[in-house]
Amino acid sequence: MFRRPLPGPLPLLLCLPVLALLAGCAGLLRAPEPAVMDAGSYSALASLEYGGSQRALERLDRSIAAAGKDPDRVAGLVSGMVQVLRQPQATFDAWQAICQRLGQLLGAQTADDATLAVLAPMLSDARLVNAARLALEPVGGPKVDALFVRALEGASGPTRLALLQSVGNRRMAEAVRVIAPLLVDADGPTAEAAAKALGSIGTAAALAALEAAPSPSSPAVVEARLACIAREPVTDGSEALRAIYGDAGVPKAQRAAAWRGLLVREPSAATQRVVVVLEGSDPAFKQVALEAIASLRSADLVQGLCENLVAFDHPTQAAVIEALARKGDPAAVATLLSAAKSADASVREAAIAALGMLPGSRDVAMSLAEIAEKSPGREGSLAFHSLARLSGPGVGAAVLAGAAGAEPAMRAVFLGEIGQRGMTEGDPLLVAALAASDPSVRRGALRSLEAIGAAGDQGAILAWLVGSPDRAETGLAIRALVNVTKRNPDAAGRDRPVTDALDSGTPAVRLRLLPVLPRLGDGPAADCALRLALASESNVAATAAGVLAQWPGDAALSQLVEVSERSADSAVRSAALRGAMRAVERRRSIPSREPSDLVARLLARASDEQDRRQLVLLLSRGSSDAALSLARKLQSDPVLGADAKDAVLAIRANRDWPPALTASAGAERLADMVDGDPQTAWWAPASPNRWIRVDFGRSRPVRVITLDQTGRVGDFPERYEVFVTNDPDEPGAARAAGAGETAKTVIRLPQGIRGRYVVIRDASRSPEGTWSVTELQVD
Amino acid sequence: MTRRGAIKRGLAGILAYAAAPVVLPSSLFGRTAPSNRINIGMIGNGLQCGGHFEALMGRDDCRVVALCDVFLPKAEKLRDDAERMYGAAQPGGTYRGVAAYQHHEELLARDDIDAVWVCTPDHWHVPISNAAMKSGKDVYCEKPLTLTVREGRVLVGTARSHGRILQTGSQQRSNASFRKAAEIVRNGWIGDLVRVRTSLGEFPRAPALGEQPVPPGLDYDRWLGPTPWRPYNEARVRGDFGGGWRCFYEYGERKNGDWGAHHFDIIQWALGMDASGPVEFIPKGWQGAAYQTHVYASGLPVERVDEGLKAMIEFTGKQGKVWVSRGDYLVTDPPELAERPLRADEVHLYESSNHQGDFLDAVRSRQRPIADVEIGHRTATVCHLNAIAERIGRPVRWDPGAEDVVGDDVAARWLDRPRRSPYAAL
Repeated sequence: MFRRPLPGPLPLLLCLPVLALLAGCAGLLRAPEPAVMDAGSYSALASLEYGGSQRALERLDRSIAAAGKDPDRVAGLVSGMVQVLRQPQATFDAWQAICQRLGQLLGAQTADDATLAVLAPMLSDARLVNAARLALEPVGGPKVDALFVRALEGASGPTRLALLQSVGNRRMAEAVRVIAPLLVDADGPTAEAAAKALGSIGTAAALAALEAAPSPSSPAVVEARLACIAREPVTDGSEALRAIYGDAGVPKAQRAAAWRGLLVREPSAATQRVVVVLEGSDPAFKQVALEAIASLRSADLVQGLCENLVAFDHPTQAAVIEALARKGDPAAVATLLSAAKSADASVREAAIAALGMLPGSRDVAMSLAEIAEKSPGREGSLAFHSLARLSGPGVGAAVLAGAAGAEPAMRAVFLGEIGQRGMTEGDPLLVAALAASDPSVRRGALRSLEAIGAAGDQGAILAWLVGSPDRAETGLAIRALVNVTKRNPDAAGRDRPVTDALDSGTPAVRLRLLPVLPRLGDGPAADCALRLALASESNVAATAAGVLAQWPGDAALSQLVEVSERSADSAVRSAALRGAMRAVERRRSIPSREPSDLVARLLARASDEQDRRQLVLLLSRGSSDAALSLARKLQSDPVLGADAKDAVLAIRANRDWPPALTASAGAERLADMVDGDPQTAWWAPASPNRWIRVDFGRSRPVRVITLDQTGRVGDFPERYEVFVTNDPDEPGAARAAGAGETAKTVIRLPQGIRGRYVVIRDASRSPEGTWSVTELQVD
Repeated sequence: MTRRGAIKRGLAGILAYAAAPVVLPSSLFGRTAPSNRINIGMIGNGLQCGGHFEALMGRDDCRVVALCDVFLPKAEKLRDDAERMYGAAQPGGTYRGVAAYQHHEELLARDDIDAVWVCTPDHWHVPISNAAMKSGKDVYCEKPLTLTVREGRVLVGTARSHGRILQTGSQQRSNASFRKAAEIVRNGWIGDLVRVRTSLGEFPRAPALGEQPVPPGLDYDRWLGPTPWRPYNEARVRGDFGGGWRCFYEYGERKNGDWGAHHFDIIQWALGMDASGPVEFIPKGWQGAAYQTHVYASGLPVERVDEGLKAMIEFTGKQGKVWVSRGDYLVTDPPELAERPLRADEVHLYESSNHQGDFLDAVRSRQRPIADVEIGHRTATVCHLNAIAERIGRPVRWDPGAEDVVGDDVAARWLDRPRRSPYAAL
């Protein structure tokens, strides 16, 4: 893996335009190979070997492509290739390669007598027959047919097997007389190949020959008979199928196939046949009957299945119900409504699920709502989801009417359905339901507001949340409030009602609304949290600081630093300090934004040794004069000195050369790994020894590597190894190894590890799926 | 099961419950096994088999009873793994009862096997799947489903005429993000489509390979099967997601077949083209074409853009965009589309949260799975025709109704390939 790196590293971001320029110039720098075959090319082609130079073959292929549909150029190429076949010194490899290409090019004009004269002897040569078939099998016409028949008549052993395959593929009716006697050949493979060829030919004569075979019930012959019957023009296919179906000596799977053929050939009897089988107990036939329901077009099939449904055993009933659902015929609805009350749970569940897939009506909607309301567990859930996709006259109106005025339990179901069904026209009913006295009604409304509530609902939800007496519903309301707020396209002003409510609210209201802020996640929300973290109420301030610490990404970093500096409460200051450190850690990309100013401010406030050491580590991500100066200054600190020395080395490396990335795959997506955007990622199909490499340009300390696959859960290496080295061709032993983690893999190395290159290798035994890295961080 | 597999299954399970899939009977089939378990044989026990094997080992509703690989030591190793894993759940700590075969015919001859997993290289997909269905077994076959266009129609015919279930291993269909992306597009939430782009990457060129000794235990002639004879070389047969046999046109369609089978499949789904397909395939470079492109009858182009896309697939409509990738990555413009519920009268696509589980459900219910054989065939056709256009160096026009090339005899010849005797597929 390390000895064959990609042609060159990707100096981070900056080199992309250069690479693009080079790629664009490549065609100017190197003249393309000519697409013309000359004598020398054909001579080289004659000596082609699989392990040797392929240039002559590649030139031939370019010539073929360049010739396009030009008949003269194609004829010239065919002629040249045939000349090579005439050369006694032509290798087998050359013969085969040429025959493959002749198979694509030979036509009525080019498959002339002279060409066929070269190829025909190959059909009788055990060593060359398969090559000859490559050239001749695709070429239609009686002349080529005759070559195959003549060769077959004189063939034996493997050559005969090969020719039987070809005459079958070519469906050569005139070959039946030659093939039929081979059905009794003492050589088993020959007899089977003969049967298969007859099946492929598929004429009445071929079928007759098969039916007259001494072992007409053998699997190979029956399969060939079935193949014949499937082809036109066999006139009496039904009789032939009945013969197979009724033959107890035929394997069950083939009898079932014959039976299925009868369903298609005799549609008027299909329903009765299917019902009889489904009432029985033979799984081989039952399987085929159930599979056939989807495609059978018999007019009375659905009616027949519905009328006989209860006569089937319960598993069969459930399977038939699913088949009816897939068929989508409204004639099945009444039967399925009855089946939804079956004594058997599997039948009930199948019917409830199926009803949602058939054309709906008000009655079906009411039935499903009732099940959803009254049935606990899976059946209720199935009914709810069935109703969510039920479509038909009166269904939508029934849902809206139920959401407006049904008794509370049913009303809650219908209110929930408004969201599940995406019925934005039901939005006013949701808002109105917030005033309901029944909590289940309010919960149904809140769930749907979360799903489809409009931006204009913000005030109502906020007011309800401010005044809500029910803490159990607060979580639902917060999710709804966040979603409707984010649906407001006025990004600058949409938070204001929420922040105003927080700024002016009582401590209780503030505590209730604070969790909304990080979910909104933007600047106005963070500033509001800052104000509250500096407020006088200690519990509000602590909660606000905690909220800032949970902020996604590092968007609240400056607010956290400010709290750590300005809060009068030491506990709040401490929480903000740690939150700020975590936010800095979360900063993405190498190198991240310049951290020196923030680190300096936090160091001035931090007193805990571990905190201070962590801050120096974060400082090592910098590259500015200020960062280097601060790190140098800290080298004299008795506690932080060693870490500061590492930081100085790392900052110098950052300043000398932007880190460069390479990988064994997905080179075009490398920049996505360090762009700070959690929506983009480097990814590649997982593969043994897949690797990513960072080149820092000079040796530097490496303490922590973070592989963040946020948003791509599970796309981590099952096992990884990390190498830190100055020589990527001889990386030495792995410095760390372990198992990848979902969402984020943090790899900590012992202090003192230094090297110019960091290589992360997928060491999984059987990698599967994809390896993704949203952001890579090396400290 | 791997931890990452378990994590994904866990999430999928949660989604499955939320999505409320149809209810399936559990006791119709698995006809010879206790507790109605489905007995499974796995054919092709290399790289691609590993994930399936671990997933199936973790399920209670099926039992792996046979392994099969032309390189017998692979089958034997996996058999030992299976017996050890099953044994760990036995009171005595041991289990015997998993067989290892070198040739698939031996495995298919067993009456007690209900379904097979086909995890071989592409050139063996159809011969084995076809034989399995004819012997009364259901099939989970890795993608791309076929080696040639013509094979696909034959396979569909066998599945239908024999009443069998076939799931194509294009498992992105069983991911909620891909389904949601397809539903957004299908329901017109981003308006009329203007363009679709996808990224497939590229394999290294197929290397020239000399002959090496065939290792003991490998039936190399079998490995080659219906493809033209070539000398053995480890680099030819190696299972490698970044190369190996996947580099060679003899055994597949390179990246068009490898990743195309996933991404073209999702695009077909999103466009409602599961029973149809594009009408023209234009190779990269043709008259200055910057990208390999296939075009649907509406004029919609699908471009293969291997660099610079922010997601595996990008749909661009007149009123918005959708980006979707593996790892549950779904981003939309406008953003709220990703979370918007479907209205009842809008198109709801087939819901599956676990591709293997969906197949096992279909084996029991006898209904077509999410990536039914027709779907697999149609998607593979898109892969093949892009590769054909690339190989012949000119556009290929296609009639998806007749399933035939329009006006190009050379391109039409590529719709199938002669098969080396005695390995006849059709």
